[in-house]
Amino acid sequence: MLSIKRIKIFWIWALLIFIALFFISANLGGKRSWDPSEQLVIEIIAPLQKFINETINVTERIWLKYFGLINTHNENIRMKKELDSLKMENYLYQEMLAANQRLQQLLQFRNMSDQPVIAAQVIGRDPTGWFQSVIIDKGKNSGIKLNMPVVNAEGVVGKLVSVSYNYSKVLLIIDQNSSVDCIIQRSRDDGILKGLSSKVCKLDYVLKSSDVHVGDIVVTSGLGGIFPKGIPVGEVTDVEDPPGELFKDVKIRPAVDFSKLEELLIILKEDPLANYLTDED
Amino acid sequence: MIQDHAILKLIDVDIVVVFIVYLLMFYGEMWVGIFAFGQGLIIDIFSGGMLGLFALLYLIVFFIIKIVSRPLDIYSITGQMAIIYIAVLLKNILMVLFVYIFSMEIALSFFDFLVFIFSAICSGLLAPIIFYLLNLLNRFSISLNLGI
Repeated sequence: MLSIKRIKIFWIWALLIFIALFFISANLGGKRSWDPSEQLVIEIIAPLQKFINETINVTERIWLKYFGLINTHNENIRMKKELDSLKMENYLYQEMLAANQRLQQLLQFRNMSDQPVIAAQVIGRDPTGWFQSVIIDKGKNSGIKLNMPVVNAEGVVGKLVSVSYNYSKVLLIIDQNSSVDCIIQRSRDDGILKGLSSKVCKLDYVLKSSDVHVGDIVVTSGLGGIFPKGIPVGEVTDVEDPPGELFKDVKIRPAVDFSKLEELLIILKEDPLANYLTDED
Repeated sequence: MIQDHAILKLIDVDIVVVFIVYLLMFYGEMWVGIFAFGQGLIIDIFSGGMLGLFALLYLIVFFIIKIVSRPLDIYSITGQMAIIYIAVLLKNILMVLFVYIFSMEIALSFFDFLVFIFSAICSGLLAPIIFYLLNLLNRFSISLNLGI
């Protein structure tokens, strides 16, 4: 005959499993933001995570500064050559920028520099290694809301999927659950960017008739209302035309180096659909 | 970041599993089970995955540890290493299963499966060292409490 203690333990396990399955089933419909209890946990634990992250960063910098000097000389020479080449390119882009600005005035387009932005620091990464998200040190208190786009100087980083008072979670574009509406800058053909790994994304739904080549730059299309138009997303590294498939198989190298995310910019642009969604969605 | 170097990805220690085994040696299984559930829940809040996923996963891992620790001696070093190796390996396999069951889109490669095996080995090999350090900490806090 089972003792009362064993029966009690059994029911505790059953309750815990039920709670876990309940949480999972509640989330199966799609992504949801943090509820008040989760926000409380974040507010308590995130400062510790921030401290640990800064300690790791300092240690890493010391390591690289004092022990990573072996390849510095060769890298210095290589970078000087690259700098000279980039200077030439820069003169060309200055001309293109001037022409672009004139056209924008004529067509009354708003560019990204007109959008207010707020800087944030990455204080933690996804602890599981299975998903691609980061925690940043800005939240509702800084005017941040759900689904706001996140960028840095290199290009699109991701969007906010959870917000608490002082911290937020950013789903990176390299996560498999992320999708960004993009266009090929040269040919204006569109596709949906989905993450595969930290170094490679894929561009889905690119028609067979699309004009896509290796080396093409991919930018945001502005459709979907989350990301402003024209922000760099990445570069096409591989294009295949599999027989029997409806779409091309296009691989993209992200413009952003996701291994070096430290400071990010959040564009204070509200999701136009946000008014139609409740907090529970 | 350091963890993005491929070789360092192989040296991934699952510290939660190590803690579960350590706590199971000294504390009641009910509280260790609740600890495993709570750790999983905290990981879910910080990660980009579903809430409840790692809570369920670590709860199952706890049951696996309980079952595996019957034939293997949890108080011996080889037993600890073996238990942690099996628990971490099964945890990663379970995660792949959950990915397919809940239709989460995660790309897996041969390198990822290699990472699973090495992560399990590293966790098992490093566990006795972590246990030794935790024992030292435990003794230090006991001596502080006793005023020694």
